[in-house]
Amino acid sequence: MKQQRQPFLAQTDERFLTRQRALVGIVLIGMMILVLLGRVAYLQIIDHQKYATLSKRNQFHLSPIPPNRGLIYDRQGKLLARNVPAFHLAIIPEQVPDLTQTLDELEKIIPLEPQQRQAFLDKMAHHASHQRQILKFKLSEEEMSAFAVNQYRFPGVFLQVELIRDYPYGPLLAHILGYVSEANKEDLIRIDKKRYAGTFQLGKVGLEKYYEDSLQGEPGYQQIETDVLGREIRVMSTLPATSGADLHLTIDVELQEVITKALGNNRGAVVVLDPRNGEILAMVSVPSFDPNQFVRGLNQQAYQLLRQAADRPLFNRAIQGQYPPASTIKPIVALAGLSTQTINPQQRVFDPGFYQLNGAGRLYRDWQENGHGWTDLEKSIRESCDIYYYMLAEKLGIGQLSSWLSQVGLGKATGVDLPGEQIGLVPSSAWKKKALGTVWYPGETLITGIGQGYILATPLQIATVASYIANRGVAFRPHFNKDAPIENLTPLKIDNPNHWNTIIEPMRQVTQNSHGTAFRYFSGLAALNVAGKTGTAQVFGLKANEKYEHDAVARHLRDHSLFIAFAPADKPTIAMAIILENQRASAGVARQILEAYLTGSYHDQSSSPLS
Amino acid sequence: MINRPPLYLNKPGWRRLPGIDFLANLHWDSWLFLLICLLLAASSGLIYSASSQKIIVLGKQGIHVLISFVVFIAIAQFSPRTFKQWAPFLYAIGIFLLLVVLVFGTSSKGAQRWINLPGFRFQPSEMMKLFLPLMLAHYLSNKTLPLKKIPIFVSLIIIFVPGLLIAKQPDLGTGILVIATGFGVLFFAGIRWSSIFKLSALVLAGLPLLWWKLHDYQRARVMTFLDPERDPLGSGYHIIQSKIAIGSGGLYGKGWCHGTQAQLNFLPERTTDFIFSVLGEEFGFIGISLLFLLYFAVIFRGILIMTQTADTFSRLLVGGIIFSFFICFFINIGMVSGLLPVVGCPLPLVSYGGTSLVTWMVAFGMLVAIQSQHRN
Repeated sequence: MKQQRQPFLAQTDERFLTRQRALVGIVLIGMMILVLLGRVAYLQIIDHQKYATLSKRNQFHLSPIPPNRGLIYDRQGKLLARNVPAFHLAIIPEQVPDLTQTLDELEKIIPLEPQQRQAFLDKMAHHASHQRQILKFKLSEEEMSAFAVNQYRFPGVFLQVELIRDYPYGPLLAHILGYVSEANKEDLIRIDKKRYAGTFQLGKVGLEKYYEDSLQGEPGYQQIETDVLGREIRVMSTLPATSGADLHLTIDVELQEVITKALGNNRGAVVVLDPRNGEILAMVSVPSFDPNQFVRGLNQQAYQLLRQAADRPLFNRAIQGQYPPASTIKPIVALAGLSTQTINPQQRVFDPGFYQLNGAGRLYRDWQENGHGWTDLEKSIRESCDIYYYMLAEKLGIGQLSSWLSQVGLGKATGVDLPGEQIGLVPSSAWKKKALGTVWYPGETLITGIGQGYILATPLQIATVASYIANRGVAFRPHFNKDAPIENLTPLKIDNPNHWNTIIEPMRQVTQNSHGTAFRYFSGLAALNVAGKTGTAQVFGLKANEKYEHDAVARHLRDHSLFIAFAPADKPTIAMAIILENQRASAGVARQILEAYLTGSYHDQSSSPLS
Repeated sequence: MINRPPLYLNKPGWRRLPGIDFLANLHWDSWLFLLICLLLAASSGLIYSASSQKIIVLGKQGIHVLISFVVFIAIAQFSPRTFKQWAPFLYAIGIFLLLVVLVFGTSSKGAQRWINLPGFRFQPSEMMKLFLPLMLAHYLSNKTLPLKKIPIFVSLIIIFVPGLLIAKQPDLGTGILVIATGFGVLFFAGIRWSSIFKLSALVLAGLPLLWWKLHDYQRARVMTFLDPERDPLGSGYHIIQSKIAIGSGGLYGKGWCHGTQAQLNFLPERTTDFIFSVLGEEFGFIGISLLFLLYFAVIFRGILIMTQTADTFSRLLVGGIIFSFFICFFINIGMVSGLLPVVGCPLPLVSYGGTSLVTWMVAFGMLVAIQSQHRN
């Protein structure tokens, strides 16, 4: 049957087959189109948000606007750190017709170091040619004007302006303000990159570092539409930057100048405090350096030269230099003796020029070869008798001695708002056992009593000691920020407050009594009522029978000269410490400082470099 | 055609004006023409936007469109018998040109696809999209249905010789397209379902062999397709940027000439292979749905012509052309939306480019010729 029907059905079969295949075909095609539509719906409706975000990220580029760094003023409102425009020489390579020729021509008017040119070519090789590259940072005024008149010859080359830090007083405040400089690799790991977007300049040392957080400010942003190559199309919106907070200092820049001038070519440090609140009126460490060269970028060679200079200009002696405080601590040792009733003011000691433990053995010499003869407490401070303090130290013992020295802030940080402070050292038998592994010798107690041996203090700590005495046991955390809250340091409480006067009176005599160790420097200044104490720190130990000859020893082995002072003695408004390395007569420098400050004469000077 | 007796003797008076007679006898399909015009209009708008509003690019494509219209109308006036007679020669020429390309072709983006002639250059593989269904329809038109083993075997040879030659260029996209077109013709020819399954199994079995024969960059493309984020700045970049363009378009799109992906150059090849992404970004899901509707209408019209055609050759030719048109559309959109690997295949009638446009207009001209044959 089937065989017979085949030819008959052939025609209808084919029609049927065609219709069937057409139907199946159109349904299949329709279904596949629906699959595509489903795929598109998935992208455009379900995942729309995701792709819209990705598209925005493609389209827009956030360009940071660096904030203006907070300004720094002194206590009189003088501007100490400001922001000035600097001009960089920038090139957009794609706009330059012939790069090699342009660079050659540029080099004729603006000197380029070979590595600058190479660095530029390297940068160019790694960036798209429409991106601007800096050829030379921070042009000098001459370079700028030389370029300005020739600019028409250099299409694609232009000056790019940027605000950079400038310190109008230069070296005068370098150790206090520090400087800002380009972030290095370690900084980049540490800092919040968002906050430094667009600048990557940050405070490296000094107050610029300590107050970095408030000085920096918050960057703003420009939303810029960019194409696939990052070319800017247009600015869409702008969020302005927030400037950093200004910083007002306790520093008196004019006093700072007086001190710097008085110090001359010496190496040393001066710290001047207001004992009533801990404000630092001046802090000088000489020699100094020009912080502006760090801002403008110091090459490695110049930096090494500064770092390795024998007189260490980068070293802030005022807070990092640790010196034996020498005789400047004698009033505190005397106070310890009085308060512990180890001595009384009338008690006299005979000074033959040397001291021996238990009347035998090594001779501990007085600075005065023949001794001071019979010496009471007053004389011991006024004339700085060593034998008196050898005796007193032996009686007190190292335990009490170090405890009292610690109570006036030695051996611990003052908490000054400046980074890098050293804490000095107040030795004790426990310390020696731990640090050196040996027992404490009684002889070491004697020399600790005159501020020699292991004991070390920074000029700032020594000034704080002066301020403790000036204020009769009360001192404040030394600080530079005028707006910082005043904080008490642990007060030194004694049972009988009259003991303060007992040690202050001879300190007054140091400058005002003809036997005073600093009398010759303070002649004619009695009206200012300065109380002080001299000190001479040995740089190397003398042998038992050796005599020190200042001019006979090598310069770097000569004794340091120290002086602490406060004035007026009865109601002090100033306390200070000075150290001159390998030099004498620090009291003479101190006199110039105190006289200028207390008479206010220095204010007449025109000191502003800005005027 | 010259001796054709006058028709429509009862036509109204105005039709007796000189020249009108010619128009009345013109082979024409208003529906198909309307749909093609709509697609070309969409194409012009998208090319203008995608070329960053460069009128010169649009002008060039305008010339391509004019040429293709002339070709379309001219081809439509032929009789399907003529196509049937030409089929073997065209197929032979196509194979010859593919061999020429393999030997002398111009490289463009790592593949030899082009033949340079003074003044213009063209891709023989594009033409094969048309010559293969012609040849297959010619071969199968006098075979009894359903097809026996030997005709199927011969058909497979007819399909795979150009298919593999194109894949060797290497142009995997067009190769697959040409092979798929051949299978489409076989499907419409009424090959048994059991044979369809056997052939599908054969193709699936051949896939690992194909993988082994692929060029490194083709393998990379397939790997990238499977995981585009593997290489977001390299070969995955195109897919990622295209998906971002389409996805960010949302329901309504960003507006004509306002697609940021397209206008800011994030989208690659946006006037050609990735023009659909421009549509997706600027006109959204609604624009895409309308475009899909247009394509479906063209395909539907084609299938309708196929079912109304009596002779086997014409029927298979129409089926082949329509199926080829659809596969081209499917591969392109599957590719730019991340469903299929990037193989380099233009969107028919919409992508910028002369060869593809003229080829498709020749094909549609043939459709019109077939549709109109009963008038004569």
